[in-house]
This record gives sequence, C-alpha cells and structure tokens, in this order.
Amino acid sequence: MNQELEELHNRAMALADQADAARRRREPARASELLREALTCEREVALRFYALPDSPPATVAILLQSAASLAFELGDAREAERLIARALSGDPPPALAEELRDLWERVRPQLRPLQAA
Amino acid sequence: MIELLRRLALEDLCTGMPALTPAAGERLAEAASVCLDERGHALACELVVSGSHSETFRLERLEVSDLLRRTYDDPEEATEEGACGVAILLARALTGLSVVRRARKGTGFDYYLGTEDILDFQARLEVSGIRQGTEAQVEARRRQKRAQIARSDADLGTLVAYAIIVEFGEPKAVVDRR
Repeated sequence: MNQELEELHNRAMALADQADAARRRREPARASELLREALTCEREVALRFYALPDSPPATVAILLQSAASLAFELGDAREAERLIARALSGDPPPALAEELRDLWERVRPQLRPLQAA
Repeated sequence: MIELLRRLALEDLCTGMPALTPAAGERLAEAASVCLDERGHALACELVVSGSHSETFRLERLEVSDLLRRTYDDPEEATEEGACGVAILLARALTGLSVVRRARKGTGFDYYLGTEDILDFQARLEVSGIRQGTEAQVEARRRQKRAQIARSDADLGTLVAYAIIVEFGEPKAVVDRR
C-alpha cells in the first residue's frame, strides 16, 4: 500500500479507537461522529486501493470489509451493502468472501425496513 | 529460574507498532494487566505456551490501580482486549512479525502481521481470550479457532494464519499455525 493510503488507513483505525473510547465514556453522539469520520477515511482507502492495478485481492477485500463493518456499526446498512457487493464483485480469497457473506447476512435484516419505506 | 526465560513485557505495547498507536497498545497492555492481577498473578509470572510452539516466557504486567480496575470492569471486553495484547507480543516473540495492519471487524479489530520494513501483511492473527478456564475449555476454544482458520486454508493468498488462545488463570497460551 502506498504511504499516503497507509497513513489514511491508520487514521481510520485510530478514529475507530477513539470512537470505542467515546462509547465506553457513554458518549454515543461523539462515538457516532468519530465512526463516521473513520468510515469516510477507510472507504476512501478501500476504493482507491480497489482502483489501483495489481492490488493484492486479499488486501482489497480486507479494506472493503473493514469499511463495510464501520458502515454497519453506524447503522448505514445500504452503504455496508454497497461495499460488500464491491468486495464480492472482485476476486476475494474464499475465506474472506465467506466472511463478507456472513457480514451481509447481518446487514440484510436492516435493509428490509429501508426497502419497505 | 523465571529470570532465565525470554521476556514478554506488556509495557512494550505502549510504544506501539506500525499499525498500533501507542494509545491503542497501552489499552491492550492495561486490559491484560487487569486480567492477570484479577487472577492473582504477580508483576512477573510464567506464561506457558503450547501447540505449534512450545516455550515458557516471563510475562511482565503493569501495576494495577483501583482506577485501572474500574476502567476495565467489563470482564468480557477486558479479557478480549487483554488476550490481544498478550497474543501480539507472543506472535512477535515467536515469529518476529509485528502488527502492520488492523481492520475493523464487528466492534473490534482484526490483526495482520508482517515485518516492520515491508508494510504489508504476511500473516493473519486470530485471538481468543479466556479469563479462567479448564483444559477442556481451552481445547474447545482451540478447536473453534481451528475451524475458523481451516476456512482460510483454501486461500488467503498464501497467507499464514496464527490462532492464539490466551488463558489468564494459569496463565497459558495455545498457538496454532496454519
């Protein structure tokens, strides 16, 4: 991963750490805000890495899965689905593909109310 | 005799790793220290490692104050985070690999290991923690992790996976390499 993307990914994970700390302090609004920032960073890293030629499929899948997990944690089921779909549309290693399907199974029930609306 | 063993010092986590900030490392070190203290272990104790690696280490924890105990009063969360702390140090001691990437998973993180000069991962680390468990419970957790890792066998590229189960009662760790 190039240096700029590596730094952005590390920033995303540090923001997720801070969100965990805010959650433990019982500051849900701050936790959501930090998770939202983490998602913005991680999604950018994942999508830019996805677009790079010769990106290792495992790395792309891990980053998209990480971004999808953040989206799901935030309750943004549609965004999680989009990221999972993009990961599965590539060539993820079978073990990661299975984990992505597991995640989608957890996202799916949250999509039904959206579809009904 | 404990002085002759290789050291695993939890305070080493507080300086961070390529993908672990000092703050994140400190949290793992504190959680592990609370778990060890709660099980009555001294500042330095023996950690018996079995499985694909066999060695006994000198495990050194941080001092634990009442504030720290109150901070880590969720036993499940502290055990999970503490186990990650011990496992990360153990993986580095056994393989020479450090945490070079983390990825969000659920409300926690997945850890990936590599060498510090090439910041891409070479192995995945699966961790499981038990605060106080019997031999049978540790073995059951090991089988569960093995099943998860077996799914990775087909391909994570050519990625090696390490599963480390940390039990704080004795304390001990079981390592599986696939």
